[in-house]
Amino acid sequence: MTGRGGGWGDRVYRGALYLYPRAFRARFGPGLVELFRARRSEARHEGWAGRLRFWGETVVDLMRAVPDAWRQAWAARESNENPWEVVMDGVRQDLGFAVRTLSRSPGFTALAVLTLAVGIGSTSAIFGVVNSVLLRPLPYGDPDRVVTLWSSWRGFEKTWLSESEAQAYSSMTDSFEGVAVWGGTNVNFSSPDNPERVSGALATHDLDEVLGFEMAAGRFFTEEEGLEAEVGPAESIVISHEAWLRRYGADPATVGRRVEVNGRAREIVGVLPEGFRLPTDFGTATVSDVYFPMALPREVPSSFSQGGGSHFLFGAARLKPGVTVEAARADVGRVVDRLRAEFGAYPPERAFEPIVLAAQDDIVGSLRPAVLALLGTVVFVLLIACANVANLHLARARARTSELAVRAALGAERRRIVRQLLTESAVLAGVGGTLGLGLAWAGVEIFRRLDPGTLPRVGDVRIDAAVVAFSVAATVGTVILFGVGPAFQAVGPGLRHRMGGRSGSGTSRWQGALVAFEMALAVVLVVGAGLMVRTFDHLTTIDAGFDGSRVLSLAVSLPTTTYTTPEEMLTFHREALRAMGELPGVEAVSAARILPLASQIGDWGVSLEGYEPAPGLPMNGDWQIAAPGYFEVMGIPLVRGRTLEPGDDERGGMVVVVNEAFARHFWPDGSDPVGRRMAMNTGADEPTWMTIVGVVGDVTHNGLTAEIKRKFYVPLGQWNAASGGGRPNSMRYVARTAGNPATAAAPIRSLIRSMDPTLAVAEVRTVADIKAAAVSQPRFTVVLMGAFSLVAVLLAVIGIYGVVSYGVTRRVREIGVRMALGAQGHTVVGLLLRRGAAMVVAGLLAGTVAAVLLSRFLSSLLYEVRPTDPATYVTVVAGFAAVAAAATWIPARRAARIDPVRALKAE
Amino acid sequence: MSDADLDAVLPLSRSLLHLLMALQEGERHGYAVMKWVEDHTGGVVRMGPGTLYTTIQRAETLGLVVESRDRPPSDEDQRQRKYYDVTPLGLAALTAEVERLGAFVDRARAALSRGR
Repeated sequence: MTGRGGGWGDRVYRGALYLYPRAFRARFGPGLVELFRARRSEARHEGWAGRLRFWGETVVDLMRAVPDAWRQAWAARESNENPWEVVMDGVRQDLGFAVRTLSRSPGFTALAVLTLAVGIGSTSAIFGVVNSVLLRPLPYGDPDRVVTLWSSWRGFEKTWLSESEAQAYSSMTDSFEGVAVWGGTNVNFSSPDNPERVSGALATHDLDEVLGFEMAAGRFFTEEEGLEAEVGPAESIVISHEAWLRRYGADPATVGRRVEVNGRAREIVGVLPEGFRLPTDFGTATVSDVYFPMALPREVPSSFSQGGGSHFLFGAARLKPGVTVEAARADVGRVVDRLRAEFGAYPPERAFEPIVLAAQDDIVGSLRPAVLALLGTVVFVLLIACANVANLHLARARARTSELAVRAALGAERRRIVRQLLTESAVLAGVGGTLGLGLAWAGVEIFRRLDPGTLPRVGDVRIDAAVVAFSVAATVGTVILFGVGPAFQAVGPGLRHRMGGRSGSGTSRWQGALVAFEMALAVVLVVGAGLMVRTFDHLTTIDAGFDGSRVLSLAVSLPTTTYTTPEEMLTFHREALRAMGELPGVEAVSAARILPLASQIGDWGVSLEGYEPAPGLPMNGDWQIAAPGYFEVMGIPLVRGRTLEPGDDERGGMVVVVNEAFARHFWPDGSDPVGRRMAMNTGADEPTWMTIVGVVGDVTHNGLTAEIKRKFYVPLGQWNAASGGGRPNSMRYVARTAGNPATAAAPIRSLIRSMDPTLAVAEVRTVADIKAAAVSQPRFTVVLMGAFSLVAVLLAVIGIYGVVSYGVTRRVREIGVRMALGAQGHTVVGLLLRRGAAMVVAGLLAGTVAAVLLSRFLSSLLYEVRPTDPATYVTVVAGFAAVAAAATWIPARRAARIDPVRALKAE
Repeated sequence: MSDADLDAVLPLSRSLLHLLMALQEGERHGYAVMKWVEDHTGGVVRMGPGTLYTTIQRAETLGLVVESRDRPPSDEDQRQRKYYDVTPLGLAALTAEVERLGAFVDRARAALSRGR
């Protein structure tokens, strides 16, 4: 009754049968085809019309029967059993089988699980970093609408605002709902039982609305409090959640309490929410703990000074809904243009530009390249891990050829075998993923220990739901990557005929390709790490211009309420320095306003006696206050003239020391500045001339790679006169010690306390630590990239070793035959080495090309190294070749020692 | 077999009615059922393969039809063919359905004759 088999109509109908549920198709498929053929052969006798009718009927039949068959199938499942249970039964069965199979080859299983755990673990840990640093929103309400406001000048890429600028941006623009400003300050909690020096901030009353936060207790400042604080001492303070916990044990009665801060009793009116940070507090280890109110002038001043006023404020604004950062930037730009036109502000030579940044970009933007480079690195590690496990699978699938062939011969569907193999992969990946999550957790803990506190948000890194979700996704991804290929390879054509036989060389070609792929990835990673190492090397060998080894530094800030005159301050500083110098182990002491590489330094306008500046030449320099002996303690070399001496005090003649950059700037012809006179622009009628008595070496101040700017050092004792009334209340003391400088910390602390128990000593650290912190971000990148690259190399080497070693095992008989026929050991080794060498060379070549293409993404992280630095490439490739040769040679050597007789008996 | 069993399957769909009618004469395979239905409806009802086998499956589920193990000696060579036979419940359902249809037809005739 059956028509001729085949034909396109037949094939189409057979294909259409797949629309039916599987059970229905299995049971009635042959009947359906038989009827279809019978009908078709009848229709053939009726010509074209008959055939047309036949196909029409067939389509209608399918359209009616297929939904009916599915309805019946679902109805049957509902009445009999839960379809979910049917599926789960199958899964349970597969899982049980997979676990039994895997536990029979513990070596393979352990290696695969560990490899995957390393891959998934490192990827998840770094994803945790990406998530915390780049993805997690800032702790502000609607953080996408928060922007930060900065200024840029010649020599200053990103610096403070002035009050009048903030007022202008607030009142003359259309883009902002509000503009808030704040400034940094230092605070002494001066209660005698627990004096503490903490970071503080002055902030305008609308900070809470601009940044978008709710107070944990109490309230933020009112506008009136801000205005009152502009004319008298601030009566109200707000404290951070951390300070609330630390000092007051989260006591709800803290709000309303009066505490002594900076020598004056003030009322705590509010507590900030937990985890709150000012946008400027993210890159620092110390978070502002105490806030004072301040206010901006109500109007833009009628005469806007050329430089825009004194710049000491940080600013943030909240964008109106729907306003983009770009629009706000353009808006602020127009305001600056108006200020230029109306007041002649910002002459072109100062190169002033306002900066408006999305807060998120501002805070973590600098870390983005490093974090993304790390993410790329660990994704490569994961890929290498997958390639390794895929390789193990291929090797194992070969060993299991007989088993699979038997199962196929016993009637196992190909699909069923694939499902089983995939289940095994899933079990491996699942266990690996779980272990990996554990590793990620440990990694994140290590990571937080590594955090120097200078990297924004890195301290917040943790394993959360997003990281777990990522791990799960990575695990599923790895199953697909390493499981699917080998599974289909295993059930490839001719499966049933492989019983007891051995397959051809196809699999080992795959294995070789995978190893080459791993090698290539590893080369890319090691080149990346190598470039970072060279960068780090260059950074650490930059001459900062000062030595500072065996020097301890500490900050002392005298409250202006207790020390009301400059004389009282000088007396305290001098007495403290004298007493410190007498402590055992202390060789020399001095002090300066701020220390290089520890904080940013700003400039001050200057005049030079009888000097005709070239047109447009900026007449300013970074201002520093230094006590006698500062250059000697810090190891800053004297170039010309003399350094500061004890006699350079308020009774002596006015003197100043400048750096080499200062001399070059004003006297590019190289003439000697010593003996000339300069004055700081103070607005006084008569300049206070200071004689330049010396030129000292340049020091890097605002960052290791930042431009070295002209700088002048005013003696501590003469600061008040030179600056037109400035008070040297806040100074950093430096002490050079005979031994480990850290041991001097405790005696110095107790010395200061004995002099004034309400004073707190802050920022106690060695100058060496300050220098180290300046390279903390590159160090962080180099350490992590280096570690992950090592893992990658290890995995790749395991891959090469595994494949060559496996090849040797598989060819024992062949090698035995060869040797029995007279082949020498070295011939055999050579044979195997050549095979290994092909993989290695292919991998190295591909890796080098990929590294050249990819390394440009690192260029923003590099310093004085080109992404295509030949030395790095040559070293990496040569090193790799050596390691790969060893990994190949060891198993090849084993092959050469094969005893032909035993080898031939082996099978 | 109870009235409840019958109530669960009645009334029969037209496809089920045709299938049971074809099988009450003796066990048949799919193609034979198809031909029987076509022949006995004057070629008006043509069951497609899908319609036929979904109907058979439904009839099996309802317990009206079973796959038969016996087959006529003449068809020994067609081993893969499946034969189907009507069950006692199927026969009862067919009888009841035909009764119901008969009663309906009687009433319809009476109504039509009165009306004209």
